[in-house]
Amino acid sequence: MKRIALIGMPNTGKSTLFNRLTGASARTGNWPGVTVDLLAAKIVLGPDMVEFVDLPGIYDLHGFSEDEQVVRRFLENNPVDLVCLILNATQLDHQLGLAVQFSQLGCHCVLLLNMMDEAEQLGVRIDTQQLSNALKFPVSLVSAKRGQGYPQARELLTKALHDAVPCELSKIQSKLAQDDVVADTAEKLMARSVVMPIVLERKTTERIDRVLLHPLFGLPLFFLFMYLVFQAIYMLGAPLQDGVAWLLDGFRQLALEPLQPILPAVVFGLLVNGVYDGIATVASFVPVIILFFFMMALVEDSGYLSRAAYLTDALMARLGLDGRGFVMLLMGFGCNVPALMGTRVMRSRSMRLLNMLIIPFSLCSARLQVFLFMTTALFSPQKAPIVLFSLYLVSFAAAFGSALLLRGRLRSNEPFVLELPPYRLPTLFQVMLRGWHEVRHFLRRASSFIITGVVLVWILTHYPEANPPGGPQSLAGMLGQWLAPVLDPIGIGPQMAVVLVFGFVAKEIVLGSLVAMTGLQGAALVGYLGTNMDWVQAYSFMLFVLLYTPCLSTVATMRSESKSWGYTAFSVTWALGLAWIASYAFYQTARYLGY
Amino acid sequence: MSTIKLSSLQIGDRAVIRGIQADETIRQRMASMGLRAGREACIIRRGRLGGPLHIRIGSISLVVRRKDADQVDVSLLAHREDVNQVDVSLTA
Repeated sequence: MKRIALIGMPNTGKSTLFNRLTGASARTGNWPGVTVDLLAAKIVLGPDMVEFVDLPGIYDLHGFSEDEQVVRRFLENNPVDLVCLILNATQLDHQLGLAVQFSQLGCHCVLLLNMMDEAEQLGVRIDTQQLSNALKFPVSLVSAKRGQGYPQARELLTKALHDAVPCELSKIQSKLAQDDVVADTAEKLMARSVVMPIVLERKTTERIDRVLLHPLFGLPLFFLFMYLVFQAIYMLGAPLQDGVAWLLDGFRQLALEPLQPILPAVVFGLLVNGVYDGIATVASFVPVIILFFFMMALVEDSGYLSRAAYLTDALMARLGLDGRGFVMLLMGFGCNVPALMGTRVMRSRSMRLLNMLIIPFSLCSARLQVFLFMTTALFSPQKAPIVLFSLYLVSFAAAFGSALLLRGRLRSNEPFVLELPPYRLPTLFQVMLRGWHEVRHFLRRASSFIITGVVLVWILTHYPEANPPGGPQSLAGMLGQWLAPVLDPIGIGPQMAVVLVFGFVAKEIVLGSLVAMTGLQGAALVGYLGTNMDWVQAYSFMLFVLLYTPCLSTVATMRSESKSWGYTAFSVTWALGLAWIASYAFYQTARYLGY
Repeated sequence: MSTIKLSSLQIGDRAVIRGIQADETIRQRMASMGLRAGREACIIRRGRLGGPLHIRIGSISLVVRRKDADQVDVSLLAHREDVNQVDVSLTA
């Protein structure tokens, strides 16, 4: 099978073109020589079945950034028949150098100049024949978004592929000319074949920027947008999650529960309460991931994400992060899992890892449910909102504090230079496809891990004795008693300790496990909590729940995104440690003060 | 012509980049984003509280953190006053 590598700069519409060529069939995979996942799809091009690989966006083939190294290592370790280079026709003054570099490498190449529609509007005129002669490969204009020039581009690729032989590249860097020479060549070529207006007028973008990047109103507007995005995820996500839960529960009652008398209790419990509930846990994340990336694609593809980075960078730079990290942190208040996946926009690995460490401290909607229940159970209606608000403050403090403490270890030495693309309306197709890709990525990477975890907790709470589940005779109950020396000083009794074990799987089942263990529901459970815990214990418990591992899915995502067990273990330990210290400090101080 | 730092420019100033005072890796990175000697840069806005600069180089808009802009040497072409007049005529 022949292979085409798609290469281009960030913000050139590279993924739009990739999606247009490959549709929804693309999937992520591993490649020799590179450590990151790359999106690839098999498509039919003329007489051939072709594998199309989407490489990370790069500015320069010669550079040292992580993405540039990935592209070089990919090309050096995987023979490609054809390189499909895509440049932004409106920014050729900055981008032609990359084409010059590929022309020097001497591999088979096709150059597509994207955004021909915008270039036309802006008055950019390009002599593709001249370019093609100088670069020694075919050049064509396209608009990936609107589809103009697309059939010609496809034809060009087919033809070029027909003549191509696989080229094995080695020692790419040594074959490239000096950067100054490349820049010179590109400039001369530019002068000969491209006419650009002296001032490229993007009046609409400048007008919008004047409002959205306003020195005074910029930040409040940013927070307003984030609030709306967050509300949208929450308000649309909650009913969708309920819907999925309803479907799964219906299936359980209709198809699985009737099996109870037939199957031995152990098998039924393991399969239905273990494996099936694990699948249900995974499924419950699907709507919120789709919604999140729907919003994310809107924010990112519209060009606003880089603007948000500009607005919040003064604060985030002091924390060793950049403004995009702040957006992800805020998104984490909806759900940590997609927020972790969203940090992929960050190009520096160390900064990304630092960002991923602090996202789990965002008080997500699942934890909010627990806190809403407990604050109403143990605090007066006047005090409950204040208590809840204090938990949000702790959430921010833990995130920023952790970043401050760890920024030295995960220092990024990349300069912070970010392109502000012109505002563009994302297409619905693009946005949908993004959500679909991300969900599939999550399902593939996280589901087996999560299902295993749920089964493990089921065994812990049902063995050797399951009356009630997680009772003193079960392994979890024993674990709770065994942990007493650690949990007593923070005011958490053995029963609540078992709840913490459940809570490790998902915060959504914390309340359910309390119901199962006490056999009480609703008002009775509220009363039970009120008589078995005082407010100091309750607050200490909530602090712990806020800060320790959010859920198994977060751990699974952490692992699949970082590709490092060591990092994942550190993150879990850091959160557990912080949770214990915070609860200990609070509990002991409150008791010392006589509460 | 004497050189000053990119970070010291005011809104509306136009300047030519003369060089970047950083190690090879960082110079390379900045050059690949368009910050390379000989290019003309125009300051569009400056972030508050030590926030980054928003500049325009040719066809692209960039956000540059002030710490990184400190490393870029430029020589001034035109001051904001000249450009302000243009601005006034545009909005009028």
